Amino acid sequence: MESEWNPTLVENILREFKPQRMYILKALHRLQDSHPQQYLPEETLDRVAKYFNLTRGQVFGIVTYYTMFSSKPREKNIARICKSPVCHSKGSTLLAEKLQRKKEILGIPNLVIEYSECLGQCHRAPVMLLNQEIQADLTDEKLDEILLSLKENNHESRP
Amino acid sequence: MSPDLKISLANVGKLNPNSLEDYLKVGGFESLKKTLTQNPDEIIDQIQLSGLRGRGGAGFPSGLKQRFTYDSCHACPERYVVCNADEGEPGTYKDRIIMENDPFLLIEGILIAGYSIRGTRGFVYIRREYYDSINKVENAIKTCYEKGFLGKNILGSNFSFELETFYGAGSYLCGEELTLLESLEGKRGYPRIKPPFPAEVGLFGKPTLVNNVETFSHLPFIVREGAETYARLGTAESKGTKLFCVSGNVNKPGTYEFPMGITLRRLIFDVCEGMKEGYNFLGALLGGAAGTFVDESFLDVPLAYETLKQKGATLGSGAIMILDNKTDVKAMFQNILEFFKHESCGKCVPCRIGTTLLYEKSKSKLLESDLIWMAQEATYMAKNSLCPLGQSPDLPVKSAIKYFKNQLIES
Repeated sequence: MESEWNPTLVENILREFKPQRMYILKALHRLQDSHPQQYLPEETLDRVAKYFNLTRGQVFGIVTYYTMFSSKPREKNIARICKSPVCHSKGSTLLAEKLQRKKEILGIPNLVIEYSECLGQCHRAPVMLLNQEIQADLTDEKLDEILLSLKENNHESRP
Repeated sequence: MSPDLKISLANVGKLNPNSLEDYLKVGGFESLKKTLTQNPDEIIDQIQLSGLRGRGGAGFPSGLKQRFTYDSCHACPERYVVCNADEGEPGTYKDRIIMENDPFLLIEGILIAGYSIRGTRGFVYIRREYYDSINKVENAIKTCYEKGFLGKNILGSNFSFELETFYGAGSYLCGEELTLLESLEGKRGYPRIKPPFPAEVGLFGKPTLVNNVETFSHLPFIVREGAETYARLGTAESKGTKLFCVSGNVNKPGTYEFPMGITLRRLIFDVCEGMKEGYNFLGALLGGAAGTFVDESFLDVPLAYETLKQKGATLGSGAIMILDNKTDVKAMFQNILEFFKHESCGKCVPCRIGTTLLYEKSKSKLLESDLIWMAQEATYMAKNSLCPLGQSPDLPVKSAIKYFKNQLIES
């Protein structure tokens, strides 16, 4: 897929931050969030490097170090399943596999499933972070509900 | 003093976390006002007297750290306060509860610490997975600026202090204080060599006080009620209250605040109302992945720094993951080693290779000789790694072997 990027949007977002290196992580988060495919295209990283007066290598080094950033296109929705000891012993790995299968069966195209380290919700394990929201006490049925509501939202947002 | 006394969670559920008025109504910012009338050294004396120790896991005396931060360079025009809100230790969910429910308490604590070290700027480094915490803290900071609790000449005093939030991006290692500073500077999360400590050479080389959210949340109480009152809580060497994050198959898992020294038995069978039906207590993992496995012989050991240390265990962040008769201990062991492998930054060789070797070994059928080898490898890593991550597997590996050898070998 071609990397879509919107130079004006990128410029506007960058200008929200002082051009000091310490703001780069915040800026990268904002830029990634603003991209429909939840990632940081190369052109964007070039602009980031110029803005913060860094080399491309330095910026790429940051993006590849931190797990939450992606330099490859993803999907509009990201499900991050917790795989830390508590969620894991309550079957989160199995749930992740189920989620993947259900996603294919129900035909939900714009969802990517990733793992996350401890999400700090251990009293409600197993949990996942769906975009910016915690989904807790996950069961088979709850996964169905979540996927179906994602599917409905997709139809609605289509013109 | 009531045994139900709460310090970090005093206001949880009693106020709207977005409302400064609510916080003021329960006596919020009174401690800050009192602080501003005192000499900064007096505040540090109070914190030292209180016996408060860092709640992030290491348990370093907080007052002493504040004194070092100021004393390392009296002439420095700038000193920083960094709040470590990168709560990533598996099984730990306490800082999140404070930030989501009482963000103004955190800010008041940061301001008291800032004043005591003659600080000029503060930074709250929150992991990005904590969206709700970020929103609440940012909203509270904004309100504090509007109402004169942050910025120039706070409440008409000579004290000025700036505070802003920063986000992590999914790196466990960035919860380690020096790595956190690197990340705050906008770099890859590679650890720095210690010493120098942040108190001497911290953020951008300036003297910096780095504390955990829970630690800051205790400062308003100490200033308001006095160091002696605080020091009456807890055990001989672990003063005050602590947040315990209980998870696993107990009836009421959750985060609870109790004076240091409460036992596992009381936490599990009284506070959490016992094990779920069909599950029997087997042991616990104390302090998170970088913590220690314990068995039922620990049920009556007071949970405090010194008492656990005597028995070779650790309190760490306060995470308590309960193991039961149905827990696959080997799978959990393997899960922890996979975690360390994934989170190793790769900068130093003992950790980069050691975490991989341990994980790969844990996937195979384990013999007694394998366990001996794993313990040796963990020792080697602990001795030679650059930062606490490479030093961490030593604790869970050896304690798992000590208490759950049969489970590791059998499966």
